[in-house]
Amino acid sequence: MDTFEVDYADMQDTATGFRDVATELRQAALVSVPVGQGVYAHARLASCVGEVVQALEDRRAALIASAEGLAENLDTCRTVYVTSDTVGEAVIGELTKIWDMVTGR
Amino acid sequence: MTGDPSSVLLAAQLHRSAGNLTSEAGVTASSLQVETWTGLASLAFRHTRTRFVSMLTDQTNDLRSAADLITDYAVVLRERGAVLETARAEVQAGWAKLRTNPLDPRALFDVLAAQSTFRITQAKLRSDGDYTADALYALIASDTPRTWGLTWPPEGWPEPGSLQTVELDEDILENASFDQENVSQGGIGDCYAIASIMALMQTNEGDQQLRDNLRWDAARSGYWVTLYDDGEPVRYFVDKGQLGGATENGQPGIATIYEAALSQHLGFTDLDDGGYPEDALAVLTGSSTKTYDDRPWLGWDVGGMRSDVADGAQLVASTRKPDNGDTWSIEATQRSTGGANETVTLDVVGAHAYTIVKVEQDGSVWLLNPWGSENSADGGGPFRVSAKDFNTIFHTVASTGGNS
Repeated sequence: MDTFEVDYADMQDTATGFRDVATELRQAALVSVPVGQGVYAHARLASCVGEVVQALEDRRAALIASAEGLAENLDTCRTVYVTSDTVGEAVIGELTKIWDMVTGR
Repeated sequence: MTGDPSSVLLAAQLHRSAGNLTSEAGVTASSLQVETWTGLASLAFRHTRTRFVSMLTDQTNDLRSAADLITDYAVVLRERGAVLETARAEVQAGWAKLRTNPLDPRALFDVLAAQSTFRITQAKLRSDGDYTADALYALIASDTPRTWGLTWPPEGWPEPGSLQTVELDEDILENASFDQENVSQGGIGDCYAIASIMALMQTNEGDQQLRDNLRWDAARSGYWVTLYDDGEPVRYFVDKGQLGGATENGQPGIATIYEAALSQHLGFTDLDDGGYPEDALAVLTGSSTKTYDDRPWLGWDVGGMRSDVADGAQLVASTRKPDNGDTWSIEATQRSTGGANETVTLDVVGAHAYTIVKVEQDGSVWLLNPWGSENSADGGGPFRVSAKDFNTIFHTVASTGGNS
């Protein structure tokens, strides 16, 4: 079995960091981009700019979801690890009590 | 309509600003590590984080590229808009004079010249807009709706659609005929590139350049192809051609290899996005290119084009789009199977590129269609169009002339 080690605070900070990234990406929205043939004097280009803006916005939404997903999964992993530690400690505590009773300590 | 350059610039600035903010998010994401974390789950996390940062970088680059393209168009729009406004004012002033004196020849000349300038500038602006749109579409070419709802672990943006390919034999270079009449464009819309490759095959020097810029790599079973980016050589590895693309005598050939390299160079999923012969010639030869067009009052620079052909330069002519249908039906001169020249009726294809084989003193031009032999428009082989038809049908000639 592989060795395992982690600092819970480090995981929590990193999860917070990814939520900050999501916040930064929310500010990178392409809003109020001028479109329309009157602006570009070229119908196909005007339509193209609209499509490109939409595609880039779809990507941004996907990136925000990914950043939040990373943070959420880090939290989930940390919670599982903490729970395992707690359960492990409790089990070991019980075993220690039984051992003490058996050995009369 | 001359557009609104300030609003176009605003669109560019918004893209650049979004790109900068996305870049900052990328810097933040790059620094996010869980240094103390070991074990299998940590490996999965690091892999996902790396892909996420890579996607942020892609998004940053595409936003900035879009900003650059839109900025360039804004500049062009402003310049051409000024020309259009001036031409419009000159037309109005000329008509005012003509109303006063209908027999004023100078006023009539001014009106006609200004009208010509107006039409030409409008055509150039349309061309600029098409170029910008093509380049913008290329940025998002590989996106699909599957991008939506991407969640952890990110799947990444979909790979460009996998193109069907053909194998490239190691003896292509050895067996190549370098005969432009053996080349056929196939089903990909890259006439501008294939006509340019065919133009190179027109001279021994061009053949040699195509040969020198190809090298078979036995260890990797593919070809190294040298192209040029702003005159600087760049190399691409090509081990497969595009199925349905260019062939020579029906088989993968030199044009197939260069076509695949150009596809990599241009970053297109395929080469169906259109392009300009002057760009293709520059990428293929590393030379600066120039263009000829139908100058107001002066017409085509027949002497210049003749001189370029005589000097061994590569010339490719682009057709306009017909007002009706897709082709022009004209009478042309073509070589018969017996070798004599004969007058034939054939079609010249609109929005297409042709290799220029020869320019006659009277302004008539010998052309070669990259569609190759037995094609449905002209049957293949060089044909000559009259100077009058050339004026009607063609709008630009790209040339590598003047670089020797």
